[in-house]
Amino acid sequence: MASPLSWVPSARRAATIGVIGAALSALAVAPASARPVSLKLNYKCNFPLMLPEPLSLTITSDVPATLPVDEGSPEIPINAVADVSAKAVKSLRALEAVSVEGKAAAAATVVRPDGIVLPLNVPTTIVKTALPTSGPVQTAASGEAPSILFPSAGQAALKVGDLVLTLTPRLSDGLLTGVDTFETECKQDPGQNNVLATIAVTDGSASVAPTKPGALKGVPTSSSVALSWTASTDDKAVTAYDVFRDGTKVTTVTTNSATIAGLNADTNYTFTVQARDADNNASELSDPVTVKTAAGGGTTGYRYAVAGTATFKSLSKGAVPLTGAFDTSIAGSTVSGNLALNDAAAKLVALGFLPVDAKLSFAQAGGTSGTFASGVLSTTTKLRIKLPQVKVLGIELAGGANCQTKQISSVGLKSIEPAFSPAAGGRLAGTFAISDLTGCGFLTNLVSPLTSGGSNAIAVNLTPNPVA
Amino acid sequence: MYRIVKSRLVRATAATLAGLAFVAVSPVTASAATSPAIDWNVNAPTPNADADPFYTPPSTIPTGNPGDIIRARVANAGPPTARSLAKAWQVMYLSTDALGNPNVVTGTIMVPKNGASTAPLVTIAPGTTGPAFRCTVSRFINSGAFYEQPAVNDMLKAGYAVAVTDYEGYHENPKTTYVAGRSMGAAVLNISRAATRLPEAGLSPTPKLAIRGYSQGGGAAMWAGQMAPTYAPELNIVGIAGGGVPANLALVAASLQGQPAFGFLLNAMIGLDNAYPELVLDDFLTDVGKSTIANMVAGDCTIELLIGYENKKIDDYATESPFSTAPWLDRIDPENKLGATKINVPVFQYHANNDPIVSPRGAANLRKAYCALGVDLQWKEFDGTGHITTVARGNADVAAFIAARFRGATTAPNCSAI
Repeated sequence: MASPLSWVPSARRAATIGVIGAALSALAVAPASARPVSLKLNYKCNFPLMLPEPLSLTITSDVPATLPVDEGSPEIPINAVADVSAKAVKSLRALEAVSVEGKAAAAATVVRPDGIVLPLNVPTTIVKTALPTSGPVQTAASGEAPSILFPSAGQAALKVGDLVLTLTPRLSDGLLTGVDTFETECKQDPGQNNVLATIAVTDGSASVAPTKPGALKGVPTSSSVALSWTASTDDKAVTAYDVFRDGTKVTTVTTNSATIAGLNADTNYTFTVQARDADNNASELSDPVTVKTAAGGGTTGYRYAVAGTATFKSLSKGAVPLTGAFDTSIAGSTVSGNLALNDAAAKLVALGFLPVDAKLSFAQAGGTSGTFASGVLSTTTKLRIKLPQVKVLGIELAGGANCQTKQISSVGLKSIEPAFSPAAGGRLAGTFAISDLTGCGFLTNLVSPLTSGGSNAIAVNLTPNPVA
Repeated sequence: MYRIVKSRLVRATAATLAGLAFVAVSPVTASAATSPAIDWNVNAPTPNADADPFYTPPSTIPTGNPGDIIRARVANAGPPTARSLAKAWQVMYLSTDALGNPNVVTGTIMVPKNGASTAPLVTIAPGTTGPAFRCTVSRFINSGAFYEQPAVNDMLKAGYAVAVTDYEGYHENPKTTYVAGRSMGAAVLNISRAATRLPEAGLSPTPKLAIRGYSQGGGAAMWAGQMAPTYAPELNIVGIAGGGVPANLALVAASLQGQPAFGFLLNAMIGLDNAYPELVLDDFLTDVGKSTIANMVAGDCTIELLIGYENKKIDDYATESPFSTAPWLDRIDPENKLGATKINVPVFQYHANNDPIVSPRGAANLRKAYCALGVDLQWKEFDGTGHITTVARGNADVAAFIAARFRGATTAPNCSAI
């Protein structure tokens, strides 16, 4: 539990602000909805013996997007990853240190809606980090800012300021080095955006609905339509999209794409999409799109349930299980369709020790095309791989609707059995490339090397699943 | 840029003049002359890498007594903990160089925020900081990057005032006199005097004084102890603690040749060259040696000395070792060999028996010499640690020794164990 905040102006402390145990127990019942935020800041640190040395810090947190007046927030988790320069590492190694650990205190400030700026001390613990014999190192720190509470409505902001590190390098025998435990002040480089989060402090008026989903479009097969649209934004967070076919809700998804299957060939369908937020505020309906499914003449449609695995070449933690549906139509030797993969869970390892749990989702990005000839089914599916959720050490740090591969992946799948029977299904295998990630916050650089790579294996089994 | 413009001919004259000047000002005792006024109208501290005219010596050294302050400004006592404990000033004060001639030296004076008037004083003789201007100890303290800050904080937390000398020669175009004993000893004794002559600090005029140092600072503390009876007899010194003491530079030099910490030997060559007019390092250096030394003076601090010259030898930089010539050898022994005269106050001497940088044998010999002179000496050997690790490892024992001296406890000499 946090201790009472020291930044509360004393005259108004009891009535207005602060951080009190009682407020926190109330919060356990009705927690404010959290929202992941991240901020990268560059500092210069006065390490012993050195000129000010650069250090970059990426801070992530969950800060409520909105908070009612006079209601305490939850304690705010703070996670940070610092990039320590090669020179600083070399200096510590010159002192015979093999690891470093300690504390980091960030001088944060809270800007209240009424403009008053109050200090907020955020103590964090730096986990013991092995120092490489050369090159830079990343160190992780975590802690909690106390609960905060505002006396009036409007926009508030959390800003991150300078740091004081209290560092203890250690020798290989675990004992202290010649510099003992020391304090290092890190000054923020000027001119940076240092707002970690803004908070809409509400006085009971309704929260805002998400923006209208935009640019809805559909790619048809003879039996399905792959829909995609631009994401909505919200003062809190968009939690879901409802997809309507001719005015009837047909599915709910969490990302900005969906594949609607089980459709008749050569038929017009009109789709609309509506976003919802955590408070169940609904956006306006998107502009409708009318899509005509492909002609069925001379074409045979097949629908399969998909089960299999993807194996990421750069990961050591084994295969990622995959499930989904494959709708396809075969006209002569030409194959078209959609491979829709469900969200999957991947366990990755960052920095050699940090367990990372990533949720993967696979957005349609051009459908499936290919050939079926001489008993061999050969398909290529254009997908974009997204990481809507990434947890480090069990704490949700980043990811989100915009965290995805820079490039669309082409997933090549080829039947394994000598004579693939479209009616019976069968096993397919192939490879795919994953590009660097983008839009994942600070984890972009942390996770990207874990996932990106040119030759990842995929193996799936197609089980016939007749069109309803 | 470091330029060696001396020649042996010019030097002979300079040495003669210096000798005359030495006679004129020595021995020095308090209040021999009118003290100069302290000039507070100076620039504020600047980042380590920048110019800072506060450190530039005046074109004419003012008349006065060693320990008189000629310039002062408010500064930081270090990172936040130190700043919460103490007020701090940087000062430029009168001292004397390796030949006894007047010079100016800078340093830091820190006093506890409460109880300054009754606080005893601890003068810290810092360890090797490097030959470049940016390495100046007072600048590192002010910017929060002094590697012996844990020792400073220990003393401030105990309620002591703390004075830390920068040693001679730290200014733009530095002329540091690393390992020149009489320059270092005078710098240490005179900042102890200066601390009592800064009215803003509010110290007693005659506080109990302990002197401590490690490595270069261990040597400087012992030099201060040997010089004090004649040079600063009025100081109320109650104890001297010195660790990792380079007692015999010949042994130190021999053990650094071809070793990881060779950069310290190059630094000592720069220091001796600057300290003594008849030593002309340039005459021995190859072109590589000349550019190496110039680069060191332009930018090297301790870390660079440690990691920049690993396993090098003198012949990588010189056509002939200066230490094979009589003038250099004379300045090493007897000029800079500790243990020839007695320290009249209790001494705590410690050393790591695995020290690869400062010869443990030289330290053991110094202990024997002091014991033979009748010094009240407590010796401690740190088993298995190296030189750098022992910078901080000795702090608890030093703090205990100093606390015992300030409260007047019985000493615990162990010369009989030799």
